[in-house]
Amino acid sequence: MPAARRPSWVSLAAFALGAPVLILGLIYAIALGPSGRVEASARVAAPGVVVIGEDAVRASSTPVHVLVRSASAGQVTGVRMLDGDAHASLEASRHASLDGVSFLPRALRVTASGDGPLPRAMNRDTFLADPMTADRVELDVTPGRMPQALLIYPGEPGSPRDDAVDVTMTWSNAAWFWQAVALALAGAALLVAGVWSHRRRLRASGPNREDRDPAGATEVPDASGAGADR
Amino acid sequence: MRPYAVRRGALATLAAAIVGAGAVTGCGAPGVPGSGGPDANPGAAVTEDQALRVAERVLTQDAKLRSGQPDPGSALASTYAGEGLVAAKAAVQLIAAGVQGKSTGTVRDVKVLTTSRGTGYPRYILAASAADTGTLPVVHLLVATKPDTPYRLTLSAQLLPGAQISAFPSRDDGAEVVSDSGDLAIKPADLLTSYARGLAAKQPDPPYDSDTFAEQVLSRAEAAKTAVAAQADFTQSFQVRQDPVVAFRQLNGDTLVLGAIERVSDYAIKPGQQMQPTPIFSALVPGRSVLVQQVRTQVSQFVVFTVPAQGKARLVAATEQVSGASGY
Repeated sequence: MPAARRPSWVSLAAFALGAPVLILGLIYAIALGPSGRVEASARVAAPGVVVIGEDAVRASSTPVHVLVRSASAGQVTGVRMLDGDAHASLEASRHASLDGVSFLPRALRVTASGDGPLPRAMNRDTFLADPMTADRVELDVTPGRMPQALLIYPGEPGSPRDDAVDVTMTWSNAAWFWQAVALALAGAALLVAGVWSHRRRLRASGPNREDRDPAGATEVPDASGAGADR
Repeated sequence: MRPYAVRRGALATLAAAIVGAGAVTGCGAPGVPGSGGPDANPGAAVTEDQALRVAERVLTQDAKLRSGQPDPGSALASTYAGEGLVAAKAAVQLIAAGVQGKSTGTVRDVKVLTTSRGTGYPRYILAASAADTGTLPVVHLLVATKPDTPYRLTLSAQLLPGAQISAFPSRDDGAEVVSDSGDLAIKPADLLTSYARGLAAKQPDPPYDSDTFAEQVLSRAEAAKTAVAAQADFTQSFQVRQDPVVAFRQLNGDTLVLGAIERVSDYAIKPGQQMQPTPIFSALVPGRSVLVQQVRTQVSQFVVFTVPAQGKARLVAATEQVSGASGY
């Protein structure tokens, strides 16, 4: 291929950037839907003691809605604590940590650690609010400066029991959908810019194009052979 | 010229698309998944409600123990820490013996003045409550040393007449706990050491303003020395206690320094002389009817200073509590 017909680096950059941006934008727009809702969930095996850590709570600066249910439909207790305090209070207990969120696969990263039972009495001074006990614990947590975490276990305060729990975290922000659409449009714009740039380059350098500038057209030799440009 | 014009146009489109995408989708804008990173300033470690709940629990327990109710086991150790525990143990003993006034058993007007900034330990809550006697409020310092240890009371000192404590940063921010390496006019430990020296004897140009508390301590020492001159040699020494020494940065740049100084009074009884034990001494050291060789009493003095960015420190609150005695 002649060098002049090859895409310029500008076109290549536009293709290279535009295609993934378009694909990413489309994936996010389809995954989020017009409501801009992301829901990630995980089942934590017995004993069901879980710390939803600050990395999961702060996965977005949008408030997160946390729903926890016991797998056997019993009561569940949720306590808001500082992340460090929650982990410290469970240091010697078998528990799972939800320490991250994968938004596209809609999954929560679960890490099991510790050994031993949940302490019957915890230091209530580390509770940011009174514990909540119900069949389904629902909490809205607004990520702030405090590195907040949620400590969850099946059973009532002082009498925990072993059971699996289902944790669902939901973030909602309608603007996310439009942001994803905008991202896709920006990717498409980059692709169009790349195509346009390449076509201009071809027009500027290629011979025998119908749309070539007449002023630069090759002259047809006359019958006498005179007038040829060489 | 044409290729350059083409390139300029494409570059402009490329740049516009990138900037547009970044601006519209919001690189790191609030709400975007992955945008909720930690803040450089963690703020206070406790919420306002939590701090008030803790302060009310600890101060109510303190009031109950000072009302003469029997200690239900480990209540003293779970309510007090540091020099506060030393003083409280003695106070409970003296109250039970009827030689020290009882508390009403309730606590009134508990307010949280500030909490320490940051999530590390130790954590502090500075609170105030109405006093059992008098109209001046009492300042309390609560400390949590570990995640599994509840807050405990380590210092209580009554505000001095005319004294004020300036405002602290917002409850969400918490107050910075100033260490010795801070940009202070005088380090907290040095201020307390200097004040302890000034309680033993007046110092030239001390780093603090004169106050009625120090004057009373000095005059009482002189009076005691004179009163027992025929029977004993009286000496007094002052030692800064290591726990607590805490300093909080205030909103106006001043620093509030809290600490405890132990006052030790020694009576070396002269040969052939004897002293009668006081009711307080008898309550702490039962079974001594006559003292013939030496007597020692310890008093915990809890002091609170305001240290301005420029100028001398000022004592704003002080309380003392007999904390021990020995002798034979």
